Amino acid sequence: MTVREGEIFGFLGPNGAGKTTTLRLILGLLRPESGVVEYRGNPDFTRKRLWKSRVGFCPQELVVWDHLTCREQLVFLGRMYHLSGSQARERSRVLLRKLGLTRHGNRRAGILSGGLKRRLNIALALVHDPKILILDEPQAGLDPQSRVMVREYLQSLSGVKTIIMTTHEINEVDQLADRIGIIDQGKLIVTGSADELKEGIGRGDMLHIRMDETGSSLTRLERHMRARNIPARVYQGEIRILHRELVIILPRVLELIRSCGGRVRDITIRKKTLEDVFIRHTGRGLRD
Amino acid sequence: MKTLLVVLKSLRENIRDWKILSFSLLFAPLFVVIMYFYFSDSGLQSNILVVNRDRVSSGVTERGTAFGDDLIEMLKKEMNSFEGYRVRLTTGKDLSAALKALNGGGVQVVVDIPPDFSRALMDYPDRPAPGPPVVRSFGDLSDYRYVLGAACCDYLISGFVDMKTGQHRPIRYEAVSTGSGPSLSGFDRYLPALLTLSIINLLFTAGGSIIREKEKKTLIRLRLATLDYRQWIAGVGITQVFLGLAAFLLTYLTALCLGYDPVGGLGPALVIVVLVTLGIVAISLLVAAFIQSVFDLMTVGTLPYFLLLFFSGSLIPLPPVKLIIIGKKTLMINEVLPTTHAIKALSRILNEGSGLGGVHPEIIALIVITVVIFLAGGWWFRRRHIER
Repeated sequence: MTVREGEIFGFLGPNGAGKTTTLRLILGLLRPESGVVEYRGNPDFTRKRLWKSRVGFCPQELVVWDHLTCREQLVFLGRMYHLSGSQARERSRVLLRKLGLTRHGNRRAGILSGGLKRRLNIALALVHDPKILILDEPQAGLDPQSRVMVREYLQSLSGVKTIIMTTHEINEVDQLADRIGIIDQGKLIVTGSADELKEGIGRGDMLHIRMDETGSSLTRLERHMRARNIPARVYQGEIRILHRELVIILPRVLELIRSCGGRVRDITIRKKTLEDVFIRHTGRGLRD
Repeated sequence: MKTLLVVLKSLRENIRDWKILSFSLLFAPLFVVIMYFYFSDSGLQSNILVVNRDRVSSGVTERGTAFGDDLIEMLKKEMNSFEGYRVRLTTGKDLSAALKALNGGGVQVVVDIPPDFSRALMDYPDRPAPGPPVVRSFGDLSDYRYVLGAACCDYLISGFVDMKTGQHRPIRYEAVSTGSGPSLSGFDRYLPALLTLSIINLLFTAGGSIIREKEKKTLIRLRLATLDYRQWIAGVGITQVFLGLAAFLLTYLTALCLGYDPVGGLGPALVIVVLVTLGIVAISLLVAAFIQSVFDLMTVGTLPYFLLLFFSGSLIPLPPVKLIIIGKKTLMINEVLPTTHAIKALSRILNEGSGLGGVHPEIIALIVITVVIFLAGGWWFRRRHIER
C-alpha cells in the first residue's frame, strides 16, 4: 500500500479488520512481525524521533487531559514538540478558532461535551503542525454540526498535509478521501479512488428488491436469475442487482419473481456506494 | 525543560483533582489532632514493671518471709489511689529483660527489688547490714511519666518499710536515669510516625498521576511527543516532592499549634521528607505497573497503603515480622519499607536533635530502598504499560 504526499487516504473496513493496528505500525508504536513501513523509501524512518515530530495522531478514543483546559493542553503538547512558548500559544489559538473551540479554550476538557472533546482530540494531533496526519475514526461520536466542521477543516488540509484516516463511515470517506483502501481481516483488499472502486465492481446502478420471502426461497430466486444472466445477489434479506440498464431488465426480473410465486414488497434504485464495493469484495457488509 | 513542563502540568492536575489532594494533605494533620487528644487524655498514666528479685528468708512464718511479694501486693493496691494518675503495674523476675522493655518504650518505670530485701528488713535493726539494701527505679528522668511513677513508688515503698520495721528509711531508694534525651510525651514520640503518614498518603496522588496517563491513553501522546519515560517520571516525582513538603509542613504546623516542641531543626527533617517522598513515588510506580486505572488504585492500591501504614508503624505499630534470614542477619519486613527508616530518622532529628550526620544509616537505607524499588517499578511499568 502506498500513500501519496498531500492526499487524503481513507482506510475502510469493519471493526477488527486491522485498521488501528496498521495505523500503530505506521506511527512506530508497534513493530511489524513482517513487512516494512517506509517513508520516502527509508524503511527505518518510523523508528526515528524525527518521524514522531512529522506525524500527528488522533486516536479513536478521546485522549485528552481532563484536568487541563483546552488551551493549556494544546500549549503543553506543543511545548513537548519543541515549540517555543509563544509559538505554542499562537498555534493553540489558531486551532481553537479553526475547530470552533475558542469559546471553550479556558474550560477544562473533563467538562466538555463529547463532540467538543472530539474536536479537541483532533486539535491535539495538529498542534505541532505535522506533515502527516493520522486519524483513527475522527468522526466517531460527532454531532452533525461538529461532523461538518471537522470535515470542512480536513478538506482544507487536503494538498497541504498527507492525511491517513480510518473509518467505517462510508459517506465520510467517500466525501473526504482522495483514495481509499479497503481492509478486511488484516488484509488490504483493494485501493483506488472512490469512483475507481465503484466502477471496479461494474457499471450501472443498484436495484434493491425487498420481498415477503426469506432464506431458501430467496436463494432459489437468485439461482434462477443468474441462470438468465441477471447478476443478482441476496444480501440482508433482499435481492440486489447491479446493472447498466436496470429499466430494461426490471420487467424481466419482476416477471421472473411472479413466475416463481414471489411477492415484491418494495423496489429501490440507487447509485453504487463503497459498501457495495466492500460487499462485492468480501461477501459481507461493513457492519456484519 | 520537558521535565519542568511535566512538573507544571502535573501540579495543575493534582491541584485540580482536589478530592484526592485533600485526602492526601489533610488526613495526617487530622490524625495529629486526633492523636493529640488521645494522648492528652491518657497523659497521666505510667506503665510500671516491678522486678522482684527478693529471696524468701526463713523465719516469721513456716514458709518463710517474702517481703518483696508483700510490697508488690501493696503497690498493686495503692498505686492507683493517687487521684488523676493511673498506673498499669506488671511484675517480672529478670532485670535485664525489664530494662530492655524500658528501652523499647513499653514501660516507663522499672522498679528493682534487690535479693536481700526481705533479709535486710527482718534483721533490721538488730543486725543491720553493712550497707542498707537499695531499691532502684530505672527510667528516663526527662520523661514525666517516669518521674511521677518513681516518686509514687518511693512514697509507697518508704511507707511499707516504715510499717514493717517501725523505722524511717532503713533502706535506700535510688533513681537511675536511663534516658539522656529531652522530655518526651507519648504524643512527641508518636509524632514522627504521623509526619511520615502525611507522606504515605501521597501514594494516591503519585499513583494517580502515573496511572491516569495510562488509563486516559495520554501516555501515547507523550510517547509520540518523544517525551522520555525517565523525564516523565522525574516530572511526576518532582511534583510529588512539592506535595510531600506541603503535606509534611501542614502536619508539622498542626503539631506545633498543639504544643509540639521539636528539639532538632526543620532543615534535616525536610531532607528526609524529600527522600521518603521519592520512596513513595517509587512504590506508586510499582503499584501502577500492576493496575489499569485510578479506580484500581483506590481499591487494589489500598493494600500497599495499609502495609506501609502498619508495618512502618505510621498508624498502629505492629511488632516487626521476619521477612528473610541472610546469614546471621534477620531482615524484618518493616526494614524493607522506606517509611520505617524515615520515622527513625525524623524521630532522631526532631526529638533528639540529631543532624543529618546522626541519621546517615537511615539516609543510606532510604536511598538504597528507593533506588531498588524505582528500578523494579520502572522495569515492570515499562514492560506492562509502555512496551506492550
